[in-house]
Amino acid sequence: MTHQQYTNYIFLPLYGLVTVMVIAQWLRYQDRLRRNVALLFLVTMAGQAFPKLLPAALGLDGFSWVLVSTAYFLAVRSLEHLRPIPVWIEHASRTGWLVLVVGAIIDPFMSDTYSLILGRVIDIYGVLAMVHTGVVVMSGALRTGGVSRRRLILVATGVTLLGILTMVTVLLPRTEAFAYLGKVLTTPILPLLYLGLATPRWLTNIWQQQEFYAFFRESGGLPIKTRAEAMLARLVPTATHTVGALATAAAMVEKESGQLNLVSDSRALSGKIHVDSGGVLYGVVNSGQPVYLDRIDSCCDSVRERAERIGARAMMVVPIATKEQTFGYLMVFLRSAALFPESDLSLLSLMTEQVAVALSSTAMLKEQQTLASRLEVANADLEQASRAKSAFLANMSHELRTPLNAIIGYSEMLQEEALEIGDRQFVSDLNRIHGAGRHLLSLINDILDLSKIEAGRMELHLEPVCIADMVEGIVATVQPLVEKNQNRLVVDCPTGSGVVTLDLTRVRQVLFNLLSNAAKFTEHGTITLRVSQQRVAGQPWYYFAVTDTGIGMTEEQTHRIFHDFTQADSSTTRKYGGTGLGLAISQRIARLLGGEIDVASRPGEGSTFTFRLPSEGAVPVTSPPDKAAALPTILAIDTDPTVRELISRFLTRDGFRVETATNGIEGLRRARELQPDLITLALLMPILDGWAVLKTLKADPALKQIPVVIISMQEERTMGLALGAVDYLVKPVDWASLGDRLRPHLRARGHEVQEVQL
Amino acid sequence: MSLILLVEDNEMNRDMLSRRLMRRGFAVVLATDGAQGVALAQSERPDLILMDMSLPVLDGWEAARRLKAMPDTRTIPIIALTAHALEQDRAQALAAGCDEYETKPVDLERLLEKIAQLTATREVPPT
Repeated sequence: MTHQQYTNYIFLPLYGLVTVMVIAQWLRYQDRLRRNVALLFLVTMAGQAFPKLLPAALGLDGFSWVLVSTAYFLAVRSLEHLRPIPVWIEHASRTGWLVLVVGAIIDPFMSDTYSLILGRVIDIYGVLAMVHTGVVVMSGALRTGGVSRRRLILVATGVTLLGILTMVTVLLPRTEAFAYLGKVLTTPILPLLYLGLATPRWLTNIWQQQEFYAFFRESGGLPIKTRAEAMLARLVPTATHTVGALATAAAMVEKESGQLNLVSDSRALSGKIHVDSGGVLYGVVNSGQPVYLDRIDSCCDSVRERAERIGARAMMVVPIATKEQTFGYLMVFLRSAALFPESDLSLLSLMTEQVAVALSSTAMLKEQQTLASRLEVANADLEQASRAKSAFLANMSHELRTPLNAIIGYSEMLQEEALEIGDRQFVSDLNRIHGAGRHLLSLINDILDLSKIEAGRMELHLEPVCIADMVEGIVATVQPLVEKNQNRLVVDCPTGSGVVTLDLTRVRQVLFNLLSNAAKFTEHGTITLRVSQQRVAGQPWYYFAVTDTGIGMTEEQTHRIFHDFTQADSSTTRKYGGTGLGLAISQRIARLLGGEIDVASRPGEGSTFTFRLPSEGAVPVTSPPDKAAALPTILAIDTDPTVRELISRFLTRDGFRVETATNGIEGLRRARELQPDLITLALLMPILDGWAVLKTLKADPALKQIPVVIISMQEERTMGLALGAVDYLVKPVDWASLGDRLRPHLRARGHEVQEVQL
Repeated sequence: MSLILLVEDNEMNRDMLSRRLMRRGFAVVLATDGAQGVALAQSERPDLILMDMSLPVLDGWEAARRLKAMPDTRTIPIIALTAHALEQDRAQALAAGCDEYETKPVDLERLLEKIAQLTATREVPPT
């Protein structure tokens, strides 16, 4: 391929294509930099395409001088914000350019020597210009990040390569062959410059994605709670670095005041600002669109003042927002006009959007937590209300019992009297009053039971019980009820069912309830009570199955009957009476005992209720933990440190473990914790005196078993003993014999041999 | 004929229980509060005391404690009467020194059994 062919078929078309694209970029963005670049390519393209137009003396060098000098002149103007360019360089470049242009114009009229010298000057000027441009652009690239950095590196590389190429050209002889070589070497530099100066969209996108992933890779692993904070903290310096800015501030919207709180990497920027209407910031706030300002004049005062403080002359504002909510604005302050503002804005927007998403998920999480804690409070309130209800029911049933007491009592009395007189009519009427009173009483008892269970106040009294004896007792009680409807009771209870630890009263209550229900809903039938022992899942259980041949229930009804105030259906209530509380109570008692009641039934065929109970170990026995130490524990409650010290010293000597409390309140707390074997109590104490402590101790079921010995200066022995103290010592006390005096009163314990009582 | 001291502040309950006891052949003295109950127990020396627990002036538990603390009234059996049906009431009554416990409304037959038991055991030990 000849030089001419290369120029016509490869170099010029490529040059033309790049020129057209650069011009298209300029027309699209219409900014200063693109205008300069477009002009540069237009001028040099013209020089390449129509070399005849150039002064003949310049020959092929015409291309290089126009390219180099114009590029440098434009570069100095465009790149000044990458690095402050000294004024003299700017002047020198302008003067140099003028000199060269003028020199070129007068060239045809001058001698060959002139042309030769001009050529050398152009060469030197070119090399210097290229090196300087390369250094400025590269240093600018190293100080910024993101897409701009990549673009600047491309430009710097291109310019530097051109510089090297020019230098080589200067050193080589000016022949056709070397000119051809120069053109071939220049060819790949053109697309480099094009990509750097007028980056196409697709490349910008790729670069942005890379930046974007680098920014968010680290945030991804953070917990949601702190992710938004961490991302915001990283966004500010990242923005500064990416754009190559002076500083960045994230202006976060404060919900209460509506002010913007500036979080910045420069201390001079932080603080709070208002968004004044009319300013550019206001425009961003309203439009939600990112904005680049090449001058800060249009900003509101508070922002402009801050910008001037750090010497910024241009800025970018990017909303930190999702579609639903705006969290704040990212304000990037620049030393001067940006080289590629559109690249920076779109990258910043990508980042702020992600930060906003993180902020909104954090906000949602917080909201959820608030809701959860509110629910907790509501739940606690409900529980409180439920307890209040139970307490109310307990009180209410107490209030109801008193008048009922009179009704039952007087009707019973009158019955007796009427019997004596022999008035049968009265007897039967009084019988009804008495029966109704008794019925009402049983209802109140049921409600009381239920409220006790709900209030968690149902206490269990566990004792060893012989199953066979218990069943016998229940059968005797329930027999009249069974016979009332002409039923037959069959009991299948293998003798030697054994002895088991349970709450006899409560188990009886459950079995009685099941049997009386069976009797109530069965006529002319058979009721069977079957007791068996079975092992389920490795656990031994007692099974009490009550089967009747009565009216039975549908499956749907069997699900309802264990609920409060529910019978199989409302007509049942009318026909058979009852509150529907019995089974609910029985089921709860069964569960309290670690067991369960199940039912199997078919309408018209009867029902089987199975009550199962763990036969060993499953029932939690609430008793204070056994003391590891075999020493009996004494709790000494006294405000006087000397007395505490004396008690402590002498009793420890006598083989007691002594704990002390300095006042009544602490004393009660320690008594609960320690469950001591005896308490010595002073009377004269601030806040809570000895009498009050004694009363509280004796009123508390968990503490009242602890013997209390009063040690006081007051002579109130009778009162002390009446209030429940076991002994009363008047100070001064014979400390040496205190141990002997106390020992007989010690609380009886399994491991402690109790001595003779007083 | 046994003498029973009935300490009860509710007029109706007092009237009813006293009349029913009298019909069963007991002599009954009445007190309307705890303090009066303690005083009457000392002066009348009844064979048995029926004591309501929620009493004015001096409550039943306190009265029981005092009675059990004094040597001259210590031996008189006390049956606590309370409208509460909670187990802890029973335990509290017994802790205060009462010998027995009965829930109101009173089941007369059961109460009479308890009275018979307590008065009988009291007469047995040689004093």
